[in-house]
Amino acid sequence: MTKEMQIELKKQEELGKKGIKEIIKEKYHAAMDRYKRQFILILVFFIVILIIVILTLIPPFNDPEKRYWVTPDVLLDNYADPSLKHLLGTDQLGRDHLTRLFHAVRNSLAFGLITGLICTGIAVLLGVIGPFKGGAVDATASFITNIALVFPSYAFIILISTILEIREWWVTMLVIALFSWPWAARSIRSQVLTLKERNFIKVSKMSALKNMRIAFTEVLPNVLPYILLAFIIFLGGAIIAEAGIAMIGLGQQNWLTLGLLLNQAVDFGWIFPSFSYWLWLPPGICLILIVLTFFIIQSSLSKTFEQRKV
Amino acid sequence: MKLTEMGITEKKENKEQETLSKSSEKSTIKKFISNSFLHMAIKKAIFYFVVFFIAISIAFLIPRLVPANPLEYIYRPPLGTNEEAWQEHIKDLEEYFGLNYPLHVQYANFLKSFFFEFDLGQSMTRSFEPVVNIVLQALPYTLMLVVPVLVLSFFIGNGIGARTGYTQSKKDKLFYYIFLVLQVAPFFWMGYVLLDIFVLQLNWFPWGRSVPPWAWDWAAISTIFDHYWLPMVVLLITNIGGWATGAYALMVYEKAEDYISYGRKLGFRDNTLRKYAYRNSMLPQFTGLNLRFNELIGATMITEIIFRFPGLGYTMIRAFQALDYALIIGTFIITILVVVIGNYLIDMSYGILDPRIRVGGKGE
Repeated sequence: MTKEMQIELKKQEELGKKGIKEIIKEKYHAAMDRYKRQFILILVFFIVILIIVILTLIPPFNDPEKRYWVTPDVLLDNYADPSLKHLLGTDQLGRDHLTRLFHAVRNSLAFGLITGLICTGIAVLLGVIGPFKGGAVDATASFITNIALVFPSYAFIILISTILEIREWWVTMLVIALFSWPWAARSIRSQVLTLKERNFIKVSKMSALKNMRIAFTEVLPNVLPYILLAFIIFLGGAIIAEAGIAMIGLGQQNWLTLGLLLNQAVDFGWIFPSFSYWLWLPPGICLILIVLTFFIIQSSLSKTFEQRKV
Repeated sequence: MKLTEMGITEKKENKEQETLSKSSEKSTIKKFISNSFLHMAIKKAIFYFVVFFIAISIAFLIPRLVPANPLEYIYRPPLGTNEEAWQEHIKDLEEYFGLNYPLHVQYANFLKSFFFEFDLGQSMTRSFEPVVNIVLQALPYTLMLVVPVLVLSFFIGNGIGARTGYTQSKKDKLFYYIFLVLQVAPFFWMGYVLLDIFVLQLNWFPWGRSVPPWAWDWAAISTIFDHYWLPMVVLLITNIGGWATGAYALMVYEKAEDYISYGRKLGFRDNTLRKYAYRNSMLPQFTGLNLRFNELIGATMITEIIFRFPGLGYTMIRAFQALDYALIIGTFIITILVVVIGNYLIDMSYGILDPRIRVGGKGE
C-alpha cells in the first residue's frame, strides 16, 4: 500500500464517520464563502420586496386608484412633477405614481411566480415522466417538446392575444406559460436520462419499486437544482414577456403590472406632455433591476451546481 | 457449415466495402452528400413539415373556436337598412369567404388552397386584396431586421465573450458587463427610450407610417434605411449579451485545456493561441442559433410595432386593429413558414460544420 492510498482510505473513513448534518454544514459554509456578495444581494432584494409588499397594504400606499386634487373639487393634479408630496409625480389622472409603482412591482412578481410555477410543472411532468414510462409515452413527450421548441413563442402570444377578445389575467398567464416551457423539459429530460443509468436507480429497480415512485422519490430530488434553476429563469422571462405584451397593448388589463404602467406611460405620458420622464423611467429601471437580480441568482446557482472539472 | 457461412458473409462484406471505397474515391461531391447527410436532410425536412402542419392547424382552429362572427364585427348595417335584407347580405358574404361550411370542410378547403394554390384568402378590410400579396410585401422588412441582427450579434457577442474569457482583463470585462446588463434590459423598453431620445428629442430619425414599399431606387432605399437603423440597433444591443455569456463560459473551460498551456510553453503568441481556442470552443454555440432565431422573430415583431416599421409584426397589429382575421392568420402562417425554413437551414449548416451530428441523426 502506498502512502497516497492510505491517506485516501483515511479520508473515506472520516467521511463515513461524519453525519449528514456536518457535511451539509460544511458545504453551506463553503458556498457562503464563495458567494457572499450574491447572498447579500439576494437578501437585500427580498427585504426590499417585503417592504414594498407591506407598504402596499398600509394606508397612504394602499389605493393605487386614488386621485389627487390641487384645490378641492376644482383642479386635478395631473402630470405633476416629482416633489415631496408625490415623490415620483402623478400620471394623467392625477394618481400618485410611486403608489402605482409599488403595486405594479408586487403584481408583476406575483404574475411571474404563478406563471413560473405553471411552466416548471409542465416541464417537470414531460421531462421526468417521459424517460421513466418509456416507449410510446416517452416518444410522444419528446416529440411534443421538440415541436414546441420550434414554435416562436412571441408570435403565438401575439396571435392568441390579438384573436382572443378576453383581456383577463389568466389568459395572458396561460398563453405565456404554454409557449415557454420546452427548453427546460428538454434539459431536465437529459438530466433524468443520465441519472437513470446510475447504480442507486438500478438498485431501487431491483428492489421492485414502482417506476413512478422511483421517478418521484429517487430521481426528482436529484434533479431539484435544475428545476429550481429553470423556475428562476421562467420567473424573469414571464415578467419580461408580460411587460412586453402589455406595453404594446395586447396584455391583460385587470392586474396593475409594470407592463400596464409602461403601456399607460406610452399612451398618455410619452409624447403629449413634452418630457414626463417620471412615468416611463422608474418602471423600466424596476424591470431591469428585478430581472438582473434573477439573472445573477441564476448564474451563481448554475455555477454551484455545474461543478465541472477540467 | 457455420464456419463456411461466416466465411462467405465476411467475403461479401469485404466486397461491399471495396465497392464503397471505390465509389467514394471517384468524386468528392458524392462523398460530401454522403448517405448520412441525405438521411439527415430528409428526416429534418419531414420533422419541420410536421411542425409547420401543426402550427397552421392551430392558426386555423383558434379564431374558429372564438364564438364571435367576425363579419358582424366588421360590417355594421348602414342606418335604415332592412333587417332581413342585411341578414341575407351577411349570408352572401359568409358564402363568399367560405364560412358557411362545417368545420372539417373548411379545414380541407384551407389546406387545399394553401398547399396547392398558395392562397391564404382575401383581406376583409383592404379592398379584398389577396392576403399573400400584402404579407409578401411585409416579409422583406422583417427579414432585413432578423438576418443581419442574428449574424452580427452571433459574431460580435461570441467575439466579446471569448476575448473576455481568455484575457480576463478589466477593460474587456467592462464591455462584457455592459452588454450583460443590456441583454437583461427589456428590448421594448429600450426601444421606447431610444425612440424618445433620438426621434422626439434630437430629431435625428424620421418616425411614422411613411415607410415606402421596397423599390430599386435611391430615394426609396434611403428612406427605408432611415427608418431601419433604430430598430436594428435596439435588437442588436439586446442580443449581443446572450451570446457573450455562453462564449465566456466556453472559453474559460477551453483555456484550461492542455494544448493551450503547451502552446504557451512553446512560446506561441497569445493572440494566436486565442484564435485556436476560439475556433475549438465555439462549436456548441451553433446549437443555440435555433432558439435565438425563434426568440428573435418574436422580438422583431414587437420592435416593429414600436417603431412602426412595416414588417410582419406591424402588419399583424394593424390587421388586429381593423379586425381583419384573414390577414392576421395569413401573417402568422407566413411567420411560421419563415421560422421553419430558417430552423431547417440552421440545422443543415450545423450538420455540415459538425460531422458527428450527421452520424447521430442516422443512428437515432
